Amino acid sequence: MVNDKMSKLDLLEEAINAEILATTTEEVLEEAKADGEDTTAFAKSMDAWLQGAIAQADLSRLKNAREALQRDRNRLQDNVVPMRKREATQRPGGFVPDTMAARNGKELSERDKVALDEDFDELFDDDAWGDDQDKTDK
Amino acid sequence: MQQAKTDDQFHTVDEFKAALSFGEAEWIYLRRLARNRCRVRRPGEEDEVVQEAIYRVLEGRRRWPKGLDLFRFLSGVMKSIVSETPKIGFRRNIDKNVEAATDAVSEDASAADLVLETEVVTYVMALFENDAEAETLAEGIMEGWEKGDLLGLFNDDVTRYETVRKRFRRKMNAHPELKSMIHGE
Repeated sequence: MVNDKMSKLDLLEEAINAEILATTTEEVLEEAKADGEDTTAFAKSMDAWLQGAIAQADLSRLKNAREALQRDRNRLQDNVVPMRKREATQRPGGFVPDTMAARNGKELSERDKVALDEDFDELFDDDAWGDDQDKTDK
Repeated sequence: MQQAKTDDQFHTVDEFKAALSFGEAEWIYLRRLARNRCRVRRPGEEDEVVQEAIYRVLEGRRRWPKGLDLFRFLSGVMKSIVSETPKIGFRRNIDKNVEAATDAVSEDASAADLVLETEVVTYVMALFENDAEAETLAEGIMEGWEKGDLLGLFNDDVTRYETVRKRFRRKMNAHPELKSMIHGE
């Protein structure tokens, strides 16, 4: 068996296909004429059809190529995400930024100075320590 | 694993167009190949199938591999086109509408195919009831015998074998309308 998966009709079709391919075009033409086929009319009708088909297929390919190009362009645009433009925010008048950068990394701001003084006062406040703790330290 | 073919392994559409400068003999040859492909699924529609095959290549949907004979290639394309029509589509009453036929495909599809095949095979064999040699050849072909085996049916007489094959081929070509003959449509 050549191919177990092929049905009898498939085998028949392939056998006849091979048979035709092993025959010359001239021989098939002779047979067709002998069988009474109007071979000239068929060839003429196919020639006429072919001219139109070529023109139509060319247009179709051109249209497909244009559509493919447009799809590529669209895809390219989809891949490029524009950076969000940062706009300067409006600040209230008299606003002075309180950042290290604004202070050139050197000077303390007034608020920092006040906070620092408060921390020192708290640290050196003797009253903040209880008597028991003084005795223990002795 | 089969490697994907590159563009240079195919003929261009322009090369295909140039090869289509057919004369009468080439057109008839192509029609003969189509008639064989259409016998069961699309009988009587060989001209449409020839046109569809050529158009698919012109449009670039099918590409012609280099080194493959043009007629062999187009025959393969036609086989592919015809196979798009399900066998089940030829069942009586629903065969006019492929969509409906496709919807009707169910678990009994294989059984329906088998019934159809049996009908067609019976009909084919009946074509040769007055030609015992061609009938034997048809049986051998449908059993999947190779040339060596088939030659054995004719005592290895090549000339006789070729003559019967030719007779068989011409008879089959003269009967492309199996569908209508089977279903009486």
